[in-house]
Amino acid sequence: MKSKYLKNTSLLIVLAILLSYSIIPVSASSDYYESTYNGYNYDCRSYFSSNYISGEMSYAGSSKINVVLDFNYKQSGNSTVYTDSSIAIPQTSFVGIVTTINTVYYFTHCSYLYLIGVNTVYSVGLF
Amino acid sequence: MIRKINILLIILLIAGCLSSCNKPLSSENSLFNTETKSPAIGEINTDGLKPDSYYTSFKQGVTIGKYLETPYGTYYCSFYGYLYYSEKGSTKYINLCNKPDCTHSSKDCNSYIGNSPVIGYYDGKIYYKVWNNIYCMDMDGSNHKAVKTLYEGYDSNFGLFHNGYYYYVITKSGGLGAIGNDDNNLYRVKVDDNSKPEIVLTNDAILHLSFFTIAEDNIYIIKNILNNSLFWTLYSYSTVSKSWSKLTDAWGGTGASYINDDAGYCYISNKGFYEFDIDTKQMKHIKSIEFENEGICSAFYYPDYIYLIHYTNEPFDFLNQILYIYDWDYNLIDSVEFDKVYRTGGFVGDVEGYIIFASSFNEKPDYYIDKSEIGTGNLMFHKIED
Repeated sequence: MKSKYLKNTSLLIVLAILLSYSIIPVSASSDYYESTYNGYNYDCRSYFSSNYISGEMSYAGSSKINVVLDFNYKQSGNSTVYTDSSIAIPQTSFVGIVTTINTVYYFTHCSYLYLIGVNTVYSVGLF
Repeated sequence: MIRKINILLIILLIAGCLSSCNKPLSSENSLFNTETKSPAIGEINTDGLKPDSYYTSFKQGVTIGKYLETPYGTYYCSFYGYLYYSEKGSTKYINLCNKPDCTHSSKDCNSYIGNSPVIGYYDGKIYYKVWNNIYCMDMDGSNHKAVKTLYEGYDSNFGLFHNGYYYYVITKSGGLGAIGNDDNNLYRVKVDDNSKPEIVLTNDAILHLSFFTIAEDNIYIIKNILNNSLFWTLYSYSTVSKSWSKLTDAWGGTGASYINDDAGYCYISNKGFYEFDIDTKQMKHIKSIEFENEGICSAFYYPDYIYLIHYTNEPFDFLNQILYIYDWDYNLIDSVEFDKVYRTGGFVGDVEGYIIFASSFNEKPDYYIDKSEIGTGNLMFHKIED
């Protein structure tokens, strides 16, 4: 009888843990200039500075992977906000993309999307 | 004892679920409007209709290609890629999505149109560019269709819609000023037929482009000057005579200038307003303006007023802005502070009786000025409530 209660209690604790994961929203945004994320069989690395942004992904599976950068940038001396995107050529195992702008411009924000096939498996925003 | 623990766990679990349901949404989600579509979406409103070219021509804002006034209402595309609609005469923006129970917070929402889109209006349709493709949709947000591919491959481009064309430069390294850009052509493509893109202009100034604008048969190129954040070089190119001409080395930059058929207008930081005669290439200083705190200014030229926005923080950010409103004789009519911005936001556009602002360009516009209050002594920003 006692072991049955213990089993039920364990199940309830597991259920509570699982539900808490499904309920609490997970935010991927970050204030850091550099970010690394290790997934199940993939790693994502993001880097942000005023003139240089890059995203890299390595993956142990056979599907094609890719990195998308969605970024905002500005010019010194005026307020116009430019938006643009860069996308790498899809690869297996490793993919990376870098955008460097000259000193007339500077990046203000970048969203990094990491894809396996067509699915976004990780995203992060740096600014 | 164990039974009591079980009961306690169950109570905690239920309480947890209920409190999660009551959690306020994130700032992103809380602004999404889940109401059903207004019946007026996609229907033309002929009240106070302007010439068609007013709606199809490009208009500069703090953002580029994110805001449209059309005969059907106004459209705004957030930096997150969601398209919003506001009925003519209204300040309220709703997601252009008719999907039942959609929370408008994921990429399967009908109002999501893609990464860094640019939007334009032409002949009863909304056109938008995502990556190297042009798409169109009906004015009610339905019937999305791919129209054409600009070029093959993964290069980026910078461009704008103007009078039924998409004008663009190819920025293969990711954006204007990206190191490695080597295409010095300006292209255009007609959006509503099967024609291929054509080269409009080839010049190395394209490699140092800050912005371009089009008036009648002329294309005006605003080029960066290295190590100079006060002045830009302005060129003109006639698509008829094919003549290329340098107009001035002392032009106000992107977001602080306007050119129509025969005249140019610009604001130069802490010097004031200037007018430029394109035929004689003469620049005339019309009104001196000098702020104690120089900051950075935008100047937007609309039919009713000229809006000068002074960003007062140094180093620059969008957090503290003062809007100065001038008439076309450069008389200061009114001013008001906008201190609602978090991160990147501000002036969106001038439509009919309202001046529209967004506290964040990542989301929909959420403040407006009622133009009937200009000059009354009661000018203020009003919150757009859902």
